[in-house]
Parts: sequence; C-alpha cells; structure tokens
Amino acid sequence: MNHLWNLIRKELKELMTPASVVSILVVALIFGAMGGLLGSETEKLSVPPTIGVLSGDGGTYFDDAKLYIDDFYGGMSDDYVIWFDSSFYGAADHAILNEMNVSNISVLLVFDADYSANIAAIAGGSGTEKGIISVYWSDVNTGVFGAMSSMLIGEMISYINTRTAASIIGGSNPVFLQSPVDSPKGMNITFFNGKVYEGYTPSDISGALQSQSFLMPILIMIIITMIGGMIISSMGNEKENKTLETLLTLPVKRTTIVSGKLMGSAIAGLVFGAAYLIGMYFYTNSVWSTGTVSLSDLGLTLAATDWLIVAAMIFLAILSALGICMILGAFVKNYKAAQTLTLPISVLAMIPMFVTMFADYSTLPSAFQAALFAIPFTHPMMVMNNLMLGDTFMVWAGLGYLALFSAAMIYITVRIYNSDILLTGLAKKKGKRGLFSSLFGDE
Amino acid sequence: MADALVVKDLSKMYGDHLAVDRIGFSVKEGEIFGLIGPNGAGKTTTLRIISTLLTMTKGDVWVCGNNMRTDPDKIRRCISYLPEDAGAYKDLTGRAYLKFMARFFSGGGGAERMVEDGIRIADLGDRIDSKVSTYSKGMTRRLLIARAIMPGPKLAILDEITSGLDVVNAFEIRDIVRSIAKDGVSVLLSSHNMFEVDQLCDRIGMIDGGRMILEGTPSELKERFNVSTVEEVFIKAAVRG
Ligand SMILES: Nc1ncnc2c1ncn2[C@@H]1O[C@H](COP(=O)(O)OP(=O)(O)OP(=O)(O)O)[C@@H](O)[C@H]1O
Ligand SMILES: [Mg+2]
Repeated sequence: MNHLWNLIRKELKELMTPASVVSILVVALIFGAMGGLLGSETEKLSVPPTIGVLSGDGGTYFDDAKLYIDDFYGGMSDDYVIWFDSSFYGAADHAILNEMNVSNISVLLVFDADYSANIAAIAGGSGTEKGIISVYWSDVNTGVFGAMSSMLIGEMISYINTRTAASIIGGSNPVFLQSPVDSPKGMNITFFNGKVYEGYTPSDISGALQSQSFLMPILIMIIITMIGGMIISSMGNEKENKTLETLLTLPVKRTTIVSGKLMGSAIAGLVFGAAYLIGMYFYTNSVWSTGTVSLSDLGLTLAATDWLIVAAMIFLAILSALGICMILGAFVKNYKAAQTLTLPISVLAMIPMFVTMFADYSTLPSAFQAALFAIPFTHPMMVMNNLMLGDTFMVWAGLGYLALFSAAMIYITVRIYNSDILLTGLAKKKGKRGLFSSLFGDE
Repeated sequence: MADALVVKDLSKMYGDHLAVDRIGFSVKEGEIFGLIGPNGAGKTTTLRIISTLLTMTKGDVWVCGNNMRTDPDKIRRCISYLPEDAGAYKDLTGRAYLKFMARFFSGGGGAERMVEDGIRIADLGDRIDSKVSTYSKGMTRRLLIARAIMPGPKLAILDEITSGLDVVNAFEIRDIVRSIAKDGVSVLLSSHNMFEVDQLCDRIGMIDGGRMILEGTPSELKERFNVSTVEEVFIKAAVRG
C-alpha cells in the first residue's frame, strides 16, 4: 500500500505539471467565459431597449399609439422612449442617423404622415391601406443578440396592432375574432416510454433529453483522450529515460507498479475532467437553461443508486481506456512515438460520442449496434438516458461488459509487465520489418 | 568467500537472434567484476537478465543464493541496477527523486537516512534541489549512481558506469565504487574504458558475439597476451575472435 501511494504520488507530480494544469484551466475557463458572455447577452434582452419615436402625423390613432407604447413599457415610457421632434420627419437618412447616435438609441419608429388617416378609413369600412410604421436600426449597441431587439420591436408593433384593432371593434378581443380556434400547449398529452406527460410535446421531451445527452459524451471523450494521451506519453518518457527499467528492478510487485500508473493517471484524469465539467456546467447552464424544458420539469431524474451506476461506469471506462493505453504504451520506444499512438484512442472515443449525440442507438442497424457496444466508451455516454428511460438491459449489460473489458485489459497489462515485451518490443524476424518496428522505430 | 553472483550457461534469444551464448562466470562478495567487449557483444543483455528485467532462454542465475527463475522478488531486494544512459524523472528535483526511490526500500527514518547518504554520494551541492531536467549529463549520472548505491545493495550492476563523464567525475565515481566494494558490496559493471577496467576491476570478463572469450584478473590477462595494457588485450582478443 505504501509503495502504491509512493508510485501514485510520483505519477501525479509528473502529470500535474504547471504547464498541464494551466492548459487545462485555460480550456475550462474558455468554456466558462463563453457561457458567461452568452449569458450576459441573454440577460440584456430582459431590459427593454431605449427607442425613439417620430411622427409626421398628429391624428388620433397616433395619439392612441403613444398610450399603447406607454402601456407596453408598463407606464415607464418616459424612461425608455425618446420622442423626436416632428421637424425630423422627412429629413435625410444621415440626419436621422446622426440624431439617433446623439440620443444613443439603436431603434427609431417613424409613424407615417397618413397613419391616422389610413386607420380611420379602415375603421370606416372603406380602408385600402394600413397605417405604416417605418423602423430605423443603427449598429450602436449591437451585440451577438442584437437581432433579438428586433423581436421586441415586433412584439411592440403587434401590441399596438391589437390595441388599435380592439378600439376599432370595440369590446371583444380582436385576437379571438381573428382566430377563434386554438390548441394550447397545455392541452398536449404525450405518452412516452410508458409514462404520461401532460402539457409537453414529444419535441419538448426529446429536446430535454438531448440537452443532457450532449454533456456526457463530450465529457467522457475529453477525459478519455486526455488521460490516454497522458499515460502513453508517460510510458514513452519512462522508456526514453530508462526510468522504467530502474523501476522494474526495485523490490516492488509488478502489479503494484501497474496499479500505481493506472491510478495516478485515473486521479489526474478525474481532476482534469472535473475542471472541464465545471467549465461546461457554466457554459451549458447559461446557454441551454433559458426557456427550454428541463429534465426535472419532466420528472426525468436519476435516483442516488442511478448516480452510483453512472459513477461506476465512468470509472470502469477510464480504467479500460488506461488499460488499452498501457498496452499500446508498452510497445512505444520513446516520447515522440507515443504522441502518434494517442490518435487511435481518441478516435475510439469520438465515434460513440458523435453517434450518441446525433443518432438514436436503438434505431441503428444491428451490426452498428454491436460495434458500438464493443467500444467500452459507448456505455457511460448512454447510461444517463438509458437509466432515465428505464432501459435496464443496456445498463447492466454495459456495466458487465465494461467490468470484463477493464479486467481483461489490466490482466494483459500485468502480463506484459512480467514479460520481455516491455523492454524489447515484439520480437522481430530477420529481414522483415514488422508493423511495430516501422511504426515505433528500431532501438 | 561466498559468491554474490553465479551465472551458468546463460543464453538469450531475441526472436531468432542469439544475443548471449552459454555465458558462465561468478562474482565474489566485495569483488568488482568488469564486463568488456565490442558493441553489440551482449553485455547489456547479460546485465539486464541478472537484474531480473529480461527472461533467460537457457541457463541459470543465482544472486545471493536466490535462484532467478524461482525467486526474482528476493533478488530484487539485494540488487541495484543502473542502466546505460538512463535518466531520472524530469519534473522531480534530485532530492525528490532520491526520496521517491528510498521509500521503496525503507520507511520513515530509514528512508531519510538513505536520502542523506544519496545526497552525499551525488555531491551536487545546491543543485540537488533543482529539477532533473536542468541537470547536465554528468550530474544526472552522479544522481543515478547515488540512487543505485544508497540502498546498500549486495550486488550493484552498473552498465557503462562512467560513460559521458569528465575526467574528474569519472575519477570520483571510481573512488566511490572502490569504497563500497571495500564495505563488502559486489559490483558487476560494464565499460568501454580499458584504463578504467584495469584500474578498478579485480577480475575482467570479455564477451564477443555473445560468448565469454576471456576471463581473469587484469594482470593475468596482460601476462597471457604478453602486453602492458588491457586495451592491447582487448584488441588482440578481438582480432583472434
Ligand atoms: N530488443 C532487442 N531485440 C532484438 N535484438 C536485440 C535487442 N536488444 C539487443 N539486441 C541484440 O543483441 C545483441 C547484444 O546487444 P547488447 O545491447 O547486449 O550489446 P552490448 O554489449 O551492451 O553493446 P554496447 O556496447 O553497444 O552497449 C546485439 O546484437 C543487439 O542487436
Ligand atoms: Mg550495452
């Protein structure tokens, strides 16, 4: 146990160098900051933009419109609306733009000179033209979501529309007159996976499942690629510096040496993974949480025992990845050769990531299903959805397969550590340059 | 005196290449035995087998009375192996490296004393607290020799012991080796420096093409070939095959 801890500590010291910690933190921060940026853009929207209003018309319907705008702003139009002097009406565009910049507004509504007259004609039954409002947009204060303020203006204009129509019709709600039939969202009843969801459409449910099924595959992929790269590089380094040779002549069991390497990398992987997770948590929270239906809204949550299964799967997947990498690393001769070997492991992690993100496992052809099942990293990527939807077969079969797979990998690793292969590579036949020697170089 | 190492009829195949061919020799307690021979002769292969790193194809090896095939774990407890051009963990300081290694042999105070010994042998001054990645070749070699000697092995196996070291460093290391041998440590080393082998070794074995072609004390060998240096012995023996 003492020796194991000694080895783990050395492994951590080597893996958690200032350089690697900084690079991981930077990526995590970028995720977090991206989320923060998008989040603050989203927040801006809840504050209505200050607008300007200009009219070439002094009629009653424009006077009404002023009241409606004030209502739209909750009686606070003094704070948000700048009433332009009517002398600007008909002025050249650049003069208007100049005045907008001076007033520091990005939107100006201009009521047409015929606005009241046209609406009065409609009310009288003889109207052929609507009252027109032109909108000037200036790029002062335009961010990523600048387009969203056009939504707000759209809402304001339709509000003016509704109120104006109501005043013409008198009494009954013009929206009802125009569309007396409705199928409100709350009246959607969806049967899904043996449960009834009232008030949710299938797209709500698949959207909610999808938002979470993005996080896990990406996270698993990052962790696997990262720790895979770390352990293979560390093996390459140990070979190059012959520290492995020294280690293997010490009075320490080979299984302890293998476990020390595995656990050191697993701990480093989990720490770095947690850093990513926190970064991604901030990112997704600010981007996807607004407005969408969350899983807990749908009652799709995981029990404590489910979380244990998820944790076990992640742990076993990491162990499998490390096992594969240690076997690959055993054939590596130096640090440089190690770098090329990280590719297969990241490809192996990327395939199930893309499939679980963009396709539905259960609808794939069975040959694909079998291939995906065989890749150990598929299982932790799918486990959360499978648990929520109660697909217990996939959960337990996956867990069993992962346990067998990682045990096999560790067994093979220990066998290799007990053989010559670790130091000599695969024995080469004379004259033939084997795949391994051409890949990893001769001594 | 008891034999610290006995090698009998040792052979090693790499695939179908015979690298070591029925080698036999022994090293007594407190004796310094030097392996010499041209490049590719099989010296490193022999040392790696004795260090429990490679399996043997044929033959037998005993270290301190323990059989290699049945008790490699016991053998690891009484040997120290220094590979040719080895390095240490680059991100550790010299001191941290010695600590890491010492913990495998002893706990608590024992390990601390071992590290103190190691630091004294390495004799790197303040630089013992610098990262290994900043060391010169000679400094790294001194650190590694210190780490090989500090646990107090019964048999020290040192491959190309002073290669890459300057005159002063090589001289000091030879001194260290002599002094541990005086304390009863057996030393098995390989070297390409014939002057060094002559000065340092009690006995010499010359390997060529995987076979032990000569064995004896330096003076015996010089006498046999009627020459004045081991270098001349080497050349005459190598030409003769
Ligand atoms: N991993 C290996 N696979 C195949 N052949 C090997 C391997 N390692 C060494 N050999 C071969 O075994 C023979 C002995 O090599 P060894 O390294 O023991 O020589 P050496 O005496 O230490 O040489 P040097 O003085 O150059 O260090 C050489 O022919 C070498 O090519
Ligand atoms: Mg050699």
